[in-house]
Amino acid sequence: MISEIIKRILYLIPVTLAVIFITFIVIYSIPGNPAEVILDLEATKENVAALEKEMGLDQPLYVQYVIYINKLLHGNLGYSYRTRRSIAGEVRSYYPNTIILAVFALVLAVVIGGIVGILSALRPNSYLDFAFRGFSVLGISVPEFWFGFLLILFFAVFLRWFPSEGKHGISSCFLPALTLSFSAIGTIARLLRTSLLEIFHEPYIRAARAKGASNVMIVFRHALKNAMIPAITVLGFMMGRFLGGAVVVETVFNWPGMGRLAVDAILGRDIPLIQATILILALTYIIINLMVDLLYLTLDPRIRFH
Amino acid sequence: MAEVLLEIKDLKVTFDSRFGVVKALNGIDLQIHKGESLGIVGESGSGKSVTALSLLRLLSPNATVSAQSIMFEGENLLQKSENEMLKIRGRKISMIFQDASSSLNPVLTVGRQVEEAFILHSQFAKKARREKLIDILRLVGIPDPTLNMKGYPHQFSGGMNQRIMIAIAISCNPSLMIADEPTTALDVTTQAQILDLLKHLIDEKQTSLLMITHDFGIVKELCERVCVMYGGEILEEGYAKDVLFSPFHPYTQGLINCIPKVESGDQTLRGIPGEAAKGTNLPSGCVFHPRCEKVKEICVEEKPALVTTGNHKVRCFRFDTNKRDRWKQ
Amino acid sequence: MELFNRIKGNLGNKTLFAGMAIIAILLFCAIFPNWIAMYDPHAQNLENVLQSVSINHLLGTDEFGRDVLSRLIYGTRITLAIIFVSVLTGGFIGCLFGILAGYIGKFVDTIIMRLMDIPLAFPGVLLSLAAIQIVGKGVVGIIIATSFYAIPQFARLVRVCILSARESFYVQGAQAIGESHISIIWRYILPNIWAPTLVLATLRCAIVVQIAAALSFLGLGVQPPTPEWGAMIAAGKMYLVRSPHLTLFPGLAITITVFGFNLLGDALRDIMDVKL
Repeated sequence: MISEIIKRILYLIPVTLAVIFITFIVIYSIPGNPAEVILDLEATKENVAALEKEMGLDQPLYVQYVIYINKLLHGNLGYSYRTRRSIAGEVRSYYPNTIILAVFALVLAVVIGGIVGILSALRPNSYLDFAFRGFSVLGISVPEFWFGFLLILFFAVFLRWFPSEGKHGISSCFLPALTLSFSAIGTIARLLRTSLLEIFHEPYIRAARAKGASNVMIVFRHALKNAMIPAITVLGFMMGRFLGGAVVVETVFNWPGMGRLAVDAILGRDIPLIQATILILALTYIIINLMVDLLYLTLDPRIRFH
Repeated sequence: MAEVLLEIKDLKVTFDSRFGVVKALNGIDLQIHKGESLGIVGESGSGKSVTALSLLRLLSPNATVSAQSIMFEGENLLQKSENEMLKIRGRKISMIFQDASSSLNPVLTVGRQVEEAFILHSQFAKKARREKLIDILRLVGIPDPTLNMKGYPHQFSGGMNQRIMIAIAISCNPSLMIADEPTTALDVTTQAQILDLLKHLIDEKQTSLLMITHDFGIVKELCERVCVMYGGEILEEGYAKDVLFSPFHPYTQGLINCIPKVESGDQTLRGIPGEAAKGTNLPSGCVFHPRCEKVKEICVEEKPALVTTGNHKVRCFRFDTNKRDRWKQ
Repeated sequence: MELFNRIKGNLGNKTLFAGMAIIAILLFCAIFPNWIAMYDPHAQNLENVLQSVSINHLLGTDEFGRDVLSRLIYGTRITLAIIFVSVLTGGFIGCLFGILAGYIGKFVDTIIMRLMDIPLAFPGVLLSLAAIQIVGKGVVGIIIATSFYAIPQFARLVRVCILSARESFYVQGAQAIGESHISIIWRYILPNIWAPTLVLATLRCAIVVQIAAALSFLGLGVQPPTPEWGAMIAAGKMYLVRSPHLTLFPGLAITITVFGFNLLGDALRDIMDVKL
């Protein structure tokens, strides 16, 4: 087992290095001279040269790369070219918001997805089941940003139950979290339904019934424990998606999180910020995926014990 | 004769499937006495497992069960509610299955699964349950129970898992234990050990046993009486000695002839010609007639009743005093 | 081919039917928009701005007086074009990689797979965003950006199929009698990858619609005045409260399209018994 864990961690090192390299290269992949791009309208020859020197663009490539890595290791993410503020500082204030949203969304996905999935499996092919299944497919079909608008229209404007944007305390979390989790709810519900239905046909379920276990016990003590294994891994990946890619939702709801920071950076061509946000989000995603992988190893006793 | 523990009268089971209605059981009558071991022998598809599962209402939802009565310990099981059945399963009637390794939940420890029987049916506190658990694991022959109860089914061999299943089954001292081909998936040595264990346990606790098998050898070892099933019906029934050594029904004779005998030096392997009757397309008249070498016209037209000669019952016109003449024609 | 027969035999399957019906309607809108659309999608009519649902304009008009329904119908063209090109290119390249990795194996396999892991290390939308950065906005940008993520998915899938097919007896037998590699791939391996690839492609279409719409919504995708559903939602955002129909209907169009592809993919998966 330990060897498996180590193997997986080692496996990631080349990928991580590649990711870091890619975020570095991003500067040069944007057509044109990066300094010119940043300065845009103010790009006079002197300004460009000065900026190039400041950004270290006049150095050879590998030197720049080394400087880049060095800065990263010291936690120096540079300065945003639009706001002139320290990026590390920005990240420190924006990142936690993304985490809050992600956790909230995860809870919603588990609770609602769980209920829908279990109920569907308990009464397969009933009207309720068809309704739930349709709902689940709808959940993964609806475009996130549009769903967000629908929710805003209905709950914020029409009913006035929730604020329509920004971060103003707990109630403002709800709509963005719901939007973010909507497709996850559909995915979890479908997955649980399929797993549970398969499990219900397994011999050990019949044997448990022969023991005198009630239906409730069968579902919760026996079936769910087995269904949980694939479900938790999927939840883990969803969490990765929430943390790493809540870009659209954060934009729609004007939520001050990392996703919005990234979009603002890209739209504003703020190259250091682009580099930093993409790097952080990608690393987050990699680490979460690793954790999910490891979690899976520990959950299934068949794998845990040889 | 000891008192009757279980009496099934006219049990019929059908399944609704894509292929139409499947007749699995066509009027079964059974009796088991206290402390007695009854074997049910038959080919795959004869309905032996269905009989057992219908007792405990463990059949799939597309099954329709009907019977005149199923009397267990003086009460009709057919009239019991689901909640009442919960108290019977595992407690008064318990069941062990063919493939023990797949009949145990892979993500729960073995100890937990055995303990569950105590949790469901007794009021013991945690500590007392633990002690009982260790006792019963020891009783069925699991070495080092305190350690092994924390193990998972995939870590044990098939024989061990079957012992665990047996532990679950006898933990609450049931009056009747049903064993559905418990040794089919095991190798011969382990098979012998498990059968020994079973014999020992039911002798000690005076438990009645309903042993479902296709192996006459097991019947000889464990059972006092035996039923032979085919096509959803009982074709012959009686004391094991009688049925094994002087079988009346041509089907039983055929089955016993199939067993290769080492001593006789006989090289030919014998079988019963034809295919087993299918529940979707049962033959008319006697359900065995298409494969019977003694078949006559009456066998195709009418269904023979189960007639009794002494302690031996058989469903064949040759033994039916009323119809025998018609058979001879 | 066996595929068509299976589909024909399963037309009673509601999911399959619904999915195919939706896609058929979309295809029709894309190929013959002028037959059903009543107006020119670019025709502005500044006197009729922001009109709600009416008989003349079944789904209302937008901020330039253009008929929403017509724009939606013409938008189908762009959407489907993006999807098909993206999935086909991404799928083709991915399959190629997968076949190479799976069939040649060992060193080549490790390198290719490691390479494939890199795009997968980025969360979906983010990868497309970054790619757009490099490639530039517009339709071409979206196509390239969305196919990036598809390549490793197809590569992985195909590789797994090939690995299991390679171990099968009939392939080993063919190799033993000296059949050429190309012949083996063509005759034995490719038929095995048809089914899962098709399912993945269908499901991939669903995702690409979403991502393309999201990118256009962020302003990074299709540029105005081309009628693309995501862009229409972005434009309609400003009038959300006053004229919700501007955001409502394009979103509905997206939802229905994705729904259709998902249904189709699900149905195909069940019919061809693929474990994805």
